[in-house]
Amino acid sequence: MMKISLQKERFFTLYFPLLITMTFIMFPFYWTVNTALKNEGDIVKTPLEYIPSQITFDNFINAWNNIGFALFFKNSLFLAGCTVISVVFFATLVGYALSRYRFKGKKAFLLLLLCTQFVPGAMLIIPLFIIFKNLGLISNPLSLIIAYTTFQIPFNSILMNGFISNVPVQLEEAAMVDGCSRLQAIRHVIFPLLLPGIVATGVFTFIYAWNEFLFAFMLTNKAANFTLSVGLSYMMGEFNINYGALAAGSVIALVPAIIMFAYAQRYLVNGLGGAVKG
Amino acid sequence: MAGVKLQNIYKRYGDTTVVQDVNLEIKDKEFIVLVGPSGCGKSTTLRMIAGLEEISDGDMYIGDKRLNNMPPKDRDIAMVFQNYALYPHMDVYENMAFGLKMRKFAKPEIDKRVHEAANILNLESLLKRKPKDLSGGQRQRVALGRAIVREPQVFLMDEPLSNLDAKLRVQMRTEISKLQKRLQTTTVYVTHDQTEAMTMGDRLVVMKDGIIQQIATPDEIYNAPVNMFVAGFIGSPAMNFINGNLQAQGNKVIFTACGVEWKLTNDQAKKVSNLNYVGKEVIIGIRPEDIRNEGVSTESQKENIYKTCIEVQENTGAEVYLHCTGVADTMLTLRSDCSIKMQCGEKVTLSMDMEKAHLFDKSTQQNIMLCK
Repeated sequence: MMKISLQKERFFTLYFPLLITMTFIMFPFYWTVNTALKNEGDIVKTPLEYIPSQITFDNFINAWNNIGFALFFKNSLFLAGCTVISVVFFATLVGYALSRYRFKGKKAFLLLLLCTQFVPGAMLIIPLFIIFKNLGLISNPLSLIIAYTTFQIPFNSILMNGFISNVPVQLEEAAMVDGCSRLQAIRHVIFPLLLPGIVATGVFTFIYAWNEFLFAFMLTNKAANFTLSVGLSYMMGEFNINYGALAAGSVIALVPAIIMFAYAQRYLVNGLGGAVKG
Repeated sequence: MAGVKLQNIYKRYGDTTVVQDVNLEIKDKEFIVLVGPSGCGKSTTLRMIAGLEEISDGDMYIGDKRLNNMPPKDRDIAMVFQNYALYPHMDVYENMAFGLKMRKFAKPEIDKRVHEAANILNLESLLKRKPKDLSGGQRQRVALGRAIVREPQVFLMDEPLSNLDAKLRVQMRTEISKLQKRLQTTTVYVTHDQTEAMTMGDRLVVMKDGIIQQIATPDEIYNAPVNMFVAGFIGSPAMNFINGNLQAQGNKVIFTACGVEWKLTNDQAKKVSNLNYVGKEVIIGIRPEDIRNEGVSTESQKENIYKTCIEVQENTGAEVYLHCTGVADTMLTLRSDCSIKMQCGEKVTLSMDMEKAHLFDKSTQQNIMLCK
């Protein structure tokens, strides 16, 4: 009797709330996939079909081949790739300096890095637009790479600081006594140990650059430079919405982000908690 | 191999001086131990020799080469760290070979040296293992191996045994001593453990608050400490200190304190008379083994007695430490034979071996017998 009531209590206090939350979060994903797999007629048919009666991949083929998602995918990949490289490079250097050196104003600098996270991106759209316009970089992928890098360096530097602090400084010292210069010590000893952290930083930056919409939308005006998120927004016209292509494009856009996040989520917890053990 | 010379070395962080005017000449092939409580500057001194800390002032030499601005990689030293600092992503072989690889040794030479070192340290079967798969003692041996393959001029060891359990520590202590005797490499060893210092070092350097207190052989440090700090720091259980006065009684000098009257030896009496300590306050220091409770027999022992009762007994198996009520609210600790059965609260008559007693100046805390 006692056991059953305990089980019930556990169900209502733990599993039930989790189930509700999960349903709430997962339903839009499910509906997107569901829509992407239906043909045009079935999408708007009433009553709604919760499981497609006829599965088709036409929407994917159409979005990829005819609408231009192949190009958008390539653009997004290029942008995200370049952003990852530059962010990882700068964030590692800043993180190293923050972790290993004592200098005047270090606390203030860390605070400043955190403060940049409070500024909403939308607030900076107009100044950024004017700057890039003056530089002649509108609709140039470089503008987005610069903008993304700038916005991602602070958070990722703090993250890298955590990762680097977890590598005992004695390892570096041992390497220096063993015959390395500081840079060699970093290359031979610190870098290999930092690899998981670097991968994590790279993945987070990738997901950000991959999903970003606002800047990409404001700073690109040629279809040839559209990213996936901008391309998706154009599926919603003034008079009609191409539900099939929108859903299929969304699924295409989701896949890399989900794969990356699945890989990196454990590093996020470790990096922010500062508890990676060698 | 070479000696190491430190001349007027200072280390300052802003306004704080952590190492002050260190002068030390370490002879070739010598095993020297820097010992002192936490924060006494011993590790900082070692790190300055390694080149991991900048020297604020003074000169440092290995052999004839001045090292002050030389990066660690050019100093021809090897260091063993407290937490071993083994490279986690390399296996034991690579860990040991790393220093040689960085110095561009030929592969066969690296192989030969690593296997030789592994042989000495019993690591042959572990060469393919990663540090995380090793026990504390094995990691310690790998760290030593990494140092010895390099055949450096000087070994630097920064509390290398403090992460090991007590039994392993004793075992590694002997192994390191044996290794040093065999390789004949000048070694600077840092520890806060006075037993380690006493058992391993050819000479000890006792430090406190960044200042060297005494540099001498273990024997000298134990039997002729220059001041109360050295006397109290070295030896376990620690030396007993008793405050009192020196008074002349005929041609003798007597130490008096709260009802005790102990007669100084002729040498001591002569020294304190010469230095005008008679009639003044001094501190007497007696080691636990120099107090006897086996019964008073000889004439001199009859003179220097103290009647007290046992408060606490600590049985270590081989001997018993008796903590007795001391003179004027202090505790008096003595070493006693296990075969003499005592009870807490039992009254005892202790006799002081004044030959072995040390006299300290109350204000300067210097050993009066060593004053000139």
